[in-house]
Amino acid sequence: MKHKEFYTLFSLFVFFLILFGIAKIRVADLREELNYRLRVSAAPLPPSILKALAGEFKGVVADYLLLEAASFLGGNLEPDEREWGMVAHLLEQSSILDPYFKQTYVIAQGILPWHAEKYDETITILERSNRHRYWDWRPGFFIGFNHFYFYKDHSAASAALMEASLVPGAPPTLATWASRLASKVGQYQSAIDFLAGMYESTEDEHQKRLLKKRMTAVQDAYRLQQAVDQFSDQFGRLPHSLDELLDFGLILEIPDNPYNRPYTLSDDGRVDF
Amino acid sequence: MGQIWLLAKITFKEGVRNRIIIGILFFAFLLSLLNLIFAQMFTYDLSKVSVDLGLSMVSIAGLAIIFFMGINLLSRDFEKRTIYMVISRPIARWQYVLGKYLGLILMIGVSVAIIGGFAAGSVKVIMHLAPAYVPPDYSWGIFGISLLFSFLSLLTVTALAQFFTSMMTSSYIALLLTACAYFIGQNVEIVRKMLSGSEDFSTFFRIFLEAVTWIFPNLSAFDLKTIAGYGLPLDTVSTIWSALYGIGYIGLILILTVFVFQRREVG
Repeated sequence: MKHKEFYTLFSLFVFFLILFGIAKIRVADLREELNYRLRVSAAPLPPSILKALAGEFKGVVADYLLLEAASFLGGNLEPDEREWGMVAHLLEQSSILDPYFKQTYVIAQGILPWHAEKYDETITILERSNRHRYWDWRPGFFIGFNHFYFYKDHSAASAALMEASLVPGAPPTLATWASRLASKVGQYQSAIDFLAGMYESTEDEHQKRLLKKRMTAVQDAYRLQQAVDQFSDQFGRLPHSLDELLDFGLILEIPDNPYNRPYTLSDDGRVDF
Repeated sequence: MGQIWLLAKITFKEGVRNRIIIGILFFAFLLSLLNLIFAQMFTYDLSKVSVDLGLSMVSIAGLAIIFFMGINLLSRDFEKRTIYMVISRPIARWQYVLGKYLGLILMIGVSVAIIGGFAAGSVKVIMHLAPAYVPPDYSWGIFGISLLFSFLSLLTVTALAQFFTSMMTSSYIALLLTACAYFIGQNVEIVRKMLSGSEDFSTFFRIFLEAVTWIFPNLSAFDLKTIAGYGLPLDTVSTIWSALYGIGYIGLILILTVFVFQRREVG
């Protein structure tokens, strides 16, 4: 190569290098703000068509959809209703393309019911995972938990937990919780145990706070319920209100409900929070 | 300049001789039909679907040209030894590199224009059939810019393809490397963004990923399909910087290709 040619090329190289370097940094900065102004988008495709289009790349497409949802969620923005819908849609599509993928149901359970109040969508994804991952007790456990915690449907929760407890390797406590949830008598203690179990298996701080709050509420309600039962044994009738428990010295104070509303006594003598 | 243009014309003609233009026309026609049928499968955002599909087809066709014809065309000179005929003439090697590149991008430019035109036509038909789903701020200008950026993305991949072809003796390996670079380029931003919010990855991995973003082009910066489809506002500053980014990257790769080619023992 001639010297002149070399120097020209080298100068051009330096020029493009500088241009590229500056543009690279600017593009990265600008896209940091811009990219997720675009927010998340999901193709409004019916699952069967998506599956057909993905062909042999079903797994990769599922991974990609999940990545799209996860990277959006990692953007630390406050998504709106439409965007939560998109995230749920991406997770649903990913779950259909690859129903064995653990990551999908874990993200769905960790995000959708807690932040987006998408309970039905979460349970649909979990049920799909539960059907396919026959060796995994967790989807069933989460289904039970969601019925118990979000829908307050103890019998559905009990049924799901009972089913999950049959999976080889499932913790024996699942069966205990299931049977106690089924009987009204043991509801409070089983609820506390169940919440504690979920609390232990959760890493997300936000969820931990919510679970802790619920545990406190249930524990207080349990104490009040014991006092109501004691009152009923002593006087042969139900107290008219929780204040009556105070008047008769069965409790020292009515605890503050962490949900910022008073504990109430139903007509059949059950303490609600 | 005359030499470069001559080589570009030869390369372009070689592409035309491969009947690639007829293939592209056929593809564009099929795409328009597919677009008309496919968009009807949706209940919402029909025009967005058609824009998406149209612009994606432009990219797919461009990539197909690079992978199936471009790399073949570039490596054929080495494999069939026709390179001797070229370098024995008074053509500098940098002129050879630029001429070949120019010829290829002419080829790709023509195909982008043809398929882009057909795509725009089918989008127009769908908008006419379902006017309720045309985004309120839809702009054909942004559609055009998006098309240009798809072209820029293809130019970047072509530059990489030429770089790998001049480096490797086997066109198959060059093809594999180009395909890898393309996939990394498409996903590197999303992966980096995902990991930047997580504490679970080691510093080494983060540095490695940062290095990857400097080596491979961020092709997702050239993807304006969503903006075009929904008629979203286009950020001018960001668009200009993205274009400069692409041009800078292509310039660097071409010069590196020239350096590699200068040092390559031909024969």
